[in-house]
Amino acid sequence: MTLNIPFLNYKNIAVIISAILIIVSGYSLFQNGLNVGLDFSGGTTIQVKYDKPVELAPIREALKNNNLNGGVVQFFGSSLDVTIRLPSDVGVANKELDFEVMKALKTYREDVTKVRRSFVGPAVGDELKNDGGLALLVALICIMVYVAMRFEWKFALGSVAALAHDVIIVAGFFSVTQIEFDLTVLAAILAVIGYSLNDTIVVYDRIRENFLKMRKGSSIEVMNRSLNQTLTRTLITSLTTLLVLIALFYFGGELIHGFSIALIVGVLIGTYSSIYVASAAALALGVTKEDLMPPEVEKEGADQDALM
Amino acid sequence: MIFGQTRQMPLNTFPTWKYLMVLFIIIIGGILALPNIFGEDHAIQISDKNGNPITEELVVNIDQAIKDGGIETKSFEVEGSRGLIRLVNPDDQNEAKRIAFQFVENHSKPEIKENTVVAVNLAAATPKWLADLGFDPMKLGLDLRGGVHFLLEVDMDALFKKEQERAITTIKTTLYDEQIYYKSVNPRELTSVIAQFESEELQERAFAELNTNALEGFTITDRSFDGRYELIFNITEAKSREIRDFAIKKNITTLNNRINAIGVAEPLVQRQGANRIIVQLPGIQDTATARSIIGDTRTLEFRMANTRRDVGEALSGRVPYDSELLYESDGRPILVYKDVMLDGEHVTGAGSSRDEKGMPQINIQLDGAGGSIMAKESGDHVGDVMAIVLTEVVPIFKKNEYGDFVKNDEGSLIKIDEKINKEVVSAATIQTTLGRSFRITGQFTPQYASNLALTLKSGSLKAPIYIVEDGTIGPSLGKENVEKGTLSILIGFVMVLIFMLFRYKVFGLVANIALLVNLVLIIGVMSMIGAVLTLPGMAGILLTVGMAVDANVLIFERIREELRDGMSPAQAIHNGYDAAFSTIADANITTAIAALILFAIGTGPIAGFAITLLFGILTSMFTAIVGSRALVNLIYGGKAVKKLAV
Repeated sequence: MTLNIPFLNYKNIAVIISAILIIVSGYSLFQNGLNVGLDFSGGTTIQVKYDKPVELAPIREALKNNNLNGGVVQFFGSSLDVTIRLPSDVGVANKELDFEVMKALKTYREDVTKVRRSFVGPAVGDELKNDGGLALLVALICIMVYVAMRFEWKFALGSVAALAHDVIIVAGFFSVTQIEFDLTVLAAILAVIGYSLNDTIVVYDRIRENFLKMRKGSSIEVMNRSLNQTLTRTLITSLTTLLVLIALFYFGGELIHGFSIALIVGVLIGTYSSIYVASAAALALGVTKEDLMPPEVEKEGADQDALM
Repeated sequence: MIFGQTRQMPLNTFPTWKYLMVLFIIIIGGILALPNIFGEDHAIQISDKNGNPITEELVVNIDQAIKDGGIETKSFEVEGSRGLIRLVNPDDQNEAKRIAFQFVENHSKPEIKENTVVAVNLAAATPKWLADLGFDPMKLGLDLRGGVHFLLEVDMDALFKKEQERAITTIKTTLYDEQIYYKSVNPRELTSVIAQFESEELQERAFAELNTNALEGFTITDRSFDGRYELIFNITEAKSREIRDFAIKKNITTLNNRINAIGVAEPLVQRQGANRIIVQLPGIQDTATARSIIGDTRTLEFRMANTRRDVGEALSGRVPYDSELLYESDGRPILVYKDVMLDGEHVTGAGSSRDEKGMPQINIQLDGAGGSIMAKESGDHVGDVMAIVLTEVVPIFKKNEYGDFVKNDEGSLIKIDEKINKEVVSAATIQTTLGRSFRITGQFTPQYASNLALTLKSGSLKAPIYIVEDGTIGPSLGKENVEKGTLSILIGFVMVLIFMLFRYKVFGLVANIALLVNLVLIIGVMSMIGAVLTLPGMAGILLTVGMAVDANVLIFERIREELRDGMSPAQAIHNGYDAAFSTIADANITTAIAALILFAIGTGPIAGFAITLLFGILTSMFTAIVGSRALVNLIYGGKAVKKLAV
């Protein structure tokens, strides 16, 4: 059973799909932004638990009556668990805030207990925004340098294009769905970078090998061949990773929902992008056999010694 | 190809040492991971708030008191300043704590009543022989255990401002003393000072004077334009780092003392980044309690010792009205005048070195104003003893019968008293008139000298801290997180195992064994380095499980390919592993780069995720490449194999 799908002959369709996804993501990011969590915006989150199912409207009412305005009240997994997010400038000193909130909640129902509370100063939020962005940038640059060293600058550009593609679309997904974007989601996006890269490198590695091995054949033929050869591996790895991510999503609890969703979307997009975006970009940049010839082709595996 | 090889190994066999190495690493990993399977005991912790040793007698007595209260205890242990009494039934913990607290409260010896702290704890139930070998289980993060955490920021701006003010005073005093007239000396931004002069001549003289009579920790540059003559003083990089480091160190020490005093089991006080401190207090549920611990009250004073009166007389209760009886660090009593000669805020620096005879000494620098006061006072008191007094004010809050803090209607703690700790950190005879810079010599060890220098320096630094982030996680949520994390790892893991077995048969079994070993190794490595396991960390472990099979998938798919290309089974195995190696290495190194950056930049949960990912990559490369190869070699190596089950 040897597959021979001419992937890159359809690259125009892929370009259109990617373009649409990126434009939608970009537009949504620009227009709606992200529903950033407390980690980034600063403020206080209080998670409470009720003994019996509860409705949100009276809770909002109770908070308003006690001068706790501007909060977001949401269910957290079940109709017993509620989170209340209040902005930093709610008007009550932070020290007493959770006390005030609990007092306000008790005016509506007595069967409420505090489960978790966190306060993040706005300064930390700002810093995280900057550091998070910086982390992404530094990661991209380091990876590009490494790929350029091990392969070729056209591949480096291709891999980073694929990464940017994945990151924008995953962030866009969070913007469109307005799922809360917190620190764990940022971690997930960085993990997506690692994952998507992993995929891309495996494909590139095979392209390099085939460029050196296949005497005949155009660049596009060599690339198609390589993609087919690595296809089963790409799909199986994505599948096993998805299996554990789905387990995480269903059984891991609310706190890491965002994390697992980001990774599930990321793995799907990453699999697609390592086939189409990374290879198509390298192809568009005009990768040829000569680019990958080691300066002195002496012995097999010469390019591997650097690592050992 | 390697030349000069005399003996050819048969295909797909390892030399014996390689099998042994794999076995050795797995066994080591297994032992390291072993402490994690024993779970935890609910326990009562008895500790001394000053870090002094706890007597076995006290722990035995409390253990007996708890037993007398009808509560079964498992065992007790005493280790330095901490005693642990393990309970059989977790539900008894509160009552046991009440008994223990009452026992301490009603103790006949005041020092035990005052200094002993009772707290509840979850102690690792690792068997003694394993714990004695230094093997401990992974620590659970706050999100898995429940508790309070704080992110504190040290107000460095205040410190830099102080440093700036000192520089200005010193510059002005020096210029005044040397009769160099200046137009103005002003702060500029946060880290520099600018001085203006009427003429180039004055500017040059000032430069020469201040440059030689160096203003410690500042660089000087001159600048002239439009008939303006200026000198600009900038804090050096080293000095500003020093300021930060000492402020952080000092605050960490203070916080540690405070936290020991309220009795928290396994607290964590750690520096984070340039000017932050992270505090985690497992088991405590309310941030108000913890907030009250924070706040700095350490002060340093230079005073004269009263040597005219007899210390023995003072010890028997007759203390002169103008003096007080204090103790030195080694417990010797000393009579000190109440009048403060010089406030510790004037200390700009302190360090330890050796004098001409090689004896340890402490060097102290004062600011300009402090120098003038010291010169006058010490001149009047040559031959007398000068004492350096460290004062710390510790608030005491109202407690209930369980030893927990009681709060008023506003949610604040009720302060009933405060305890003032005073200690004479140094007492030395003044030999001559002292100036801005002087030294203390005496019969002490280099260790003592450097500790004292640190105290002097930190005691003089007023570094306000404020809370930038805090949070609580309920104990039930922590428990829930552990259960959910474990469950999802288990389910994800089993699904992957089934899939691999289904797809790759014998090789799938090999990959599964490698995966199990990988999990053991990750847990082993994390236990060894004392990493803290958090929920995102668990997700990281799970993600590596998903990705760890990737290396084996790469190899096995390659083997299949080689078989399709007509290779013999043995050759296919050999080529498969060989060809996949560089791919696996490249792919993993790039992921490791991402993980490293996450670890370097990320805080708390992100760093936890990154560290598990990083170790996961390392262990999975080992198990997939070396471990699985060893197994495959054992199964297929050196035999005439006709067909592979891949």
